[in-house]
Amino acid sequence: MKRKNHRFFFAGRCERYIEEINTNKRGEEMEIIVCLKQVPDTTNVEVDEKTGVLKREGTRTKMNPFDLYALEWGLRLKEQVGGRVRVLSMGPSQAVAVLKEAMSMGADEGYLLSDRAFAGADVLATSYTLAQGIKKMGSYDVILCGKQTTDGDTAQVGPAVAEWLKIPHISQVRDIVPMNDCFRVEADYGEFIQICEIQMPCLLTIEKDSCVPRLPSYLLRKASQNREVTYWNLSDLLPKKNEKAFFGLDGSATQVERIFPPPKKEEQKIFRGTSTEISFEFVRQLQRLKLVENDEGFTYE
Amino acid sequence: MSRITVKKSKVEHAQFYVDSCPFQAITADSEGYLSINDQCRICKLCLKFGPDLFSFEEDIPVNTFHQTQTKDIAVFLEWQHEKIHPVSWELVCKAREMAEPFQQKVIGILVGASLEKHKEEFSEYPLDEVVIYDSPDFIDFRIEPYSAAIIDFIQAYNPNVLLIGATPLGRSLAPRIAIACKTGLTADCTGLELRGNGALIQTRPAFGGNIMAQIKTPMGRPQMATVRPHVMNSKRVAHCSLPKTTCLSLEDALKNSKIKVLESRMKPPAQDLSEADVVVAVGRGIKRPEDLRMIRDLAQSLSAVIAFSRPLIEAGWADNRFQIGLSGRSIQPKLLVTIGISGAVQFSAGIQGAGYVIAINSDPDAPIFNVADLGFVGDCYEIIPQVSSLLKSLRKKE
Repeated sequence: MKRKNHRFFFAGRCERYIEEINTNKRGEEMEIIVCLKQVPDTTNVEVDEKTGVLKREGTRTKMNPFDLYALEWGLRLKEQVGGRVRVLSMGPSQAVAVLKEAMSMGADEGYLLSDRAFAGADVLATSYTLAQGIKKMGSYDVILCGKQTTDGDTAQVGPAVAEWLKIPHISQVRDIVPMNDCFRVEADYGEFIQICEIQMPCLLTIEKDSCVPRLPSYLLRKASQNREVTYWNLSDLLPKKNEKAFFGLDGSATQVERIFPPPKKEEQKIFRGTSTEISFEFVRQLQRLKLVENDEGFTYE
Repeated sequence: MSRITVKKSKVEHAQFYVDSCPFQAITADSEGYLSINDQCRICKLCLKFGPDLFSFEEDIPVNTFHQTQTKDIAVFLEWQHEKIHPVSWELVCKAREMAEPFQQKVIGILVGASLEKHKEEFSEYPLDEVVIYDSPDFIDFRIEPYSAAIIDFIQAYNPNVLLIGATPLGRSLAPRIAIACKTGLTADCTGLELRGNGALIQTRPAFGGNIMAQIKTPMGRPQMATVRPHVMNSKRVAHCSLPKTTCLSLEDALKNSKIKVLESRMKPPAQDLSEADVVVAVGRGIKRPEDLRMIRDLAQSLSAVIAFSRPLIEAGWADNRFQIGLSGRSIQPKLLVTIGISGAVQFSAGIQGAGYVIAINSDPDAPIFNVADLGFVGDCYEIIPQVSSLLKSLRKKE
């Protein structure tokens, strides 16, 4: 029960914990939470320069591809040591699709934080809302997140959630070995690799390609079709009376002042012609840039 | 709650407004009444249709922060494996450029172990002061002691701006500090500008599309931003004097960590993209991995390093150290040749430092032609082999 005691100590959810130990409801099983995000299927958004309107192609969405690796590691940990995987997302009601998808891959329960008051959130407010949801979900041993999203691309929300929850985190993890009361993980810092042990509860953001995510299963999909996802809105996540809340645009520290299309370079040239003409022009340019020797007699007739 | 509201009046061409929202947040009923659903992200694009239709209701006053309390620009000097990361110096130079007109100081924060030997380096960059946290506890990066040190610094110095390199370490550290200070953090900025009132205007690609956003931090200080390596320029300067150095230390309790580092090792050096003078970048226009042979031929005759766009990295054609773009490397070669790359903004964000960009793409409307200095519209499968043989024949003549 070493792990239990440790959890008891750090998670600070004493009552619930004592109750669990006394009744031995889940024994040594691991509580895993995986954070998921629904992202646009395409990043191909353009601005009409005259009107400033976004031109969009298609309205399809998908699960953030980086999150698939976090989910796969969550399911693997559950298979190795037993426990349950709960998936959490924040977004409009349509985001329930990613939770259902995760359930058809093997996640046990889904939670969606959805309210118009959560909209327009920056890192501060997004991570706060997720942390409020996680606190309401009860005790946990590990929270797994994708390394980053394909739409925001910031890689900030995972570590930010860990700070709200006051738990340690390691980013860009590419291997996880569950030990007695900690995880042994390998983290990729770009120029160097760190191998470390991190105590539970903790948050890990998962590097891409650190595993091969499984495909959704038809049987699980059928079985999870009628399983309910828990919806929480603003009133469910409000903090204690004397604490400041950080939801949505109002709880965000940053503001978008204006948006504009990326600047075009001036004096651009587009060269059209046959492949041979292009090849000669290409080499001429390389000569101009002094990358290949200049040859006076080099012309295309 | 701040929100966008829509006037309940009938509009003509309701579908036009529905289509104008990138997040499908505007809906119209059969009679032409518009409404806004929970998809709204308050991007405020619809506000340009005028207050008769859409208006922004704000709940709390912005600019609530007392800006007089904070001053100066702080830069986190990233130290690991006995080295200060070059991105730190790029940020110091950018900070100096911003600080100069307002007589603000540029302060470096260095956290590590046995840092004495770096003092010489300080004089090569335009720093006013370096605050040093030197302890054997900081030899390996562990999140709790490192963030405790930076937070300790912020409490002592109250900086107006804090810049951190968008390296894997910086991206892990910055969000924890921002949340601890309840302040804003803008990742991967491509432009930074300091205004007279102390506001930091941060520019970055946004909404995952071909859009740039200018972001400010009306609430919370320090104003925090991360910047990728090679986005800003670094210049060594002949400084006459060493900057002032201040050594601070943390209480032992704050150096505790729930992480134990067993091993930390450098990755083997690869042929480095960020150092290359000439880069040939390939994208989805190259159909099969076998076709890379002609690219290698060309790269060899130009002494170039080959880089890849995100789709090819995701398809497993190369190590992600050879990826260019927002989620890969930012590069600063003298010449960049892109072949079969369409040029989404995520890619273009990584090539802003390139001296000259030549793009080859068969699609004349590809966005890469907007960022390239010279565009060739044509089939790379025909052009590249011809160029290679031309280069070979040139060499023979010599």
